[in-house]
Amino acid sequence: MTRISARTLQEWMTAYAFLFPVLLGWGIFVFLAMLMSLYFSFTTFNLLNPPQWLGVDNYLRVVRHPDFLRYAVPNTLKYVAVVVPVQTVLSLIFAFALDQKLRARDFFRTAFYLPSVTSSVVIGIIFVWLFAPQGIINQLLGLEINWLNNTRTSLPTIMIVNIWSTTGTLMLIFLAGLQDIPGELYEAAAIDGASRVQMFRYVTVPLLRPVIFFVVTLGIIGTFQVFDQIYIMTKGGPLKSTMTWVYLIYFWGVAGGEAGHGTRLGGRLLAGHHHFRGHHGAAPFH
Amino acid sequence: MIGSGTEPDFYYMDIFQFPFFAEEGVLQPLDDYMAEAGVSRDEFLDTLINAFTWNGQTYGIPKDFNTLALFYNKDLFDEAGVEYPTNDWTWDDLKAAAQAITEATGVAGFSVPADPGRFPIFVFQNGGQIMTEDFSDTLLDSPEVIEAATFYTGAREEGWAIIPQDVGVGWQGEAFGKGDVAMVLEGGWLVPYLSSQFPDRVYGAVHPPAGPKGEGNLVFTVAYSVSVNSDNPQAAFDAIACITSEENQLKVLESGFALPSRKALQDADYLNENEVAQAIFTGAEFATPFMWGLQGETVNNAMAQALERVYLEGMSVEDSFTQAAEEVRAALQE
Repeated sequence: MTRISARTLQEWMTAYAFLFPVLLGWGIFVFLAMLMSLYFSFTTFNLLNPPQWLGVDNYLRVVRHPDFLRYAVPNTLKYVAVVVPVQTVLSLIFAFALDQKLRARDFFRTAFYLPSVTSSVVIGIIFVWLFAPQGIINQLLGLEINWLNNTRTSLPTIMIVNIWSTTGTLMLIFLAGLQDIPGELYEAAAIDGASRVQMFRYVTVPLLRPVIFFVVTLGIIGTFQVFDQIYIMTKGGPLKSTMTWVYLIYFWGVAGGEAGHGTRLGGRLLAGHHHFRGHHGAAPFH
Repeated sequence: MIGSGTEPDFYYMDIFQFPFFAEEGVLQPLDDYMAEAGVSRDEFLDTLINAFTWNGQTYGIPKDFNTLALFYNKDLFDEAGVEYPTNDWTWDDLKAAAQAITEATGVAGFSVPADPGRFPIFVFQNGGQIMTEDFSDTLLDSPEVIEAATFYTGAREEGWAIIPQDVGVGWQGEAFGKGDVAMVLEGGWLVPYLSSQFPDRVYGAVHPPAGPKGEGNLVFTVAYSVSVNSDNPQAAFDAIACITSEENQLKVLESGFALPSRKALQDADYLNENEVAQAIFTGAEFATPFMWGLQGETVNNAMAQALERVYLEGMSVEDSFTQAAEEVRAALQE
């Protein structure tokens, strides 16, 4: 058995003393709340009368509910499948371009990053105006599409807004990764006669692999949790065409949507998981 | 708070949530207290006091209410040379005026949002109901509802009405403020919104037009209810009785916040001098509470989506409302 020296012990105590305020708050308001919602999800609790044990019925209701299978699951998967690759590729291209010695490089770096420091609520409202039937997008393109009130265009519109607003953050991460790649490698490649495209393909991309992994992971977490823009722009509509599962949790659990009170609980539990998956930690956007 | 037994002795109760609270047995029946204090049900507008009655017992003293009124933009009426609406209007008058305005000004005459807080009055005016009397079944697929929905959605199809999304807004009140529609059915909440956001809008308000079966309206109301867990229900009741007394309601009315729930105040000077408030107050006479029983949210969503399917997917009114009725029945059986 290893003996813990007095010094180590003292260091631990000091560390926990510093951590205590945060652990206390997190423990009560996040961890405990999560455990409670996990327990409530197996009961009949409806906020009015004391909970009674129910078992997995709430979960079965969620899984069998048409809103979940017909709308929330496919919409969320579609959303992730489109947004993650597009924003990853776009941000990599932007980062690569802005890593070159361009004129007004700082201006472009700032411009591309700006959406990431703008409130998603503000972005949502601005895009509602841009995509309005009489809005700028329609006027520029000479179209008469009601983007947000059409079941075929509503989800793609939300995708566009999110790609636009997150690409900047991801670009910044790529940019940091690019600047970690030693200049000698490009020099060596140049001596071997590699073209710009070849350098990108055979030097940049392989060396960026850990960064790409990070960006894709962040992207997947963030897109599975998409909520703000949907709340601001479409409220899950029209006809549930932008109903994703986090929005469904809100719709059932908070907004008092249509499922019975039992499903609200299922909703609340999922909301707990959603918390746990790292709404607070991992994702710097959404 | 109710789940943890720490709720206040008495609180605000919205009519839409009321059935759920009453059914869960967390509210105190007030009839005995009322009898003792000499407060009679007859002192309150029938529609309101009946709305807070569940299984024959009174569970709330109505505090105030709102109904829908037909708000009209006077400038657009003048521009089109159409006479202002009156309390005697019918669906035909609405249609004729809206068509004339649409033609003359290019601005839509009326608004028909996919909103479960607006559409039902056309059902009532057509002699129908949304739910059966005991809320055990829905009537969304009844001929009265389908006819009303045909008229309602037909207004947009025929080009004399819009939905708010057609003009790029989410709420018809905003469209009305911007002058993008000449008439909307809204409640008293539109008044403070217009005066703060669109102070230049010149408008009036009258009762919603009557349908083939007469007048019909929705009433949105709140009451004060006493908690069944209250340690001192008598004191809680006394407080409610005081807040909802004639004297206090008159003060609230004159401050312009809300309409009184007491019959005795129907001749108050404020109402006689204020056209909009009067239209909304007297609208209660023909009104049905905005409440569809324990599955109210399901009914609301089903109704909204039934209208959206017609607007966005061109589904027939009959198919769409039949589907809505099936959704509601599935939820009722759960």
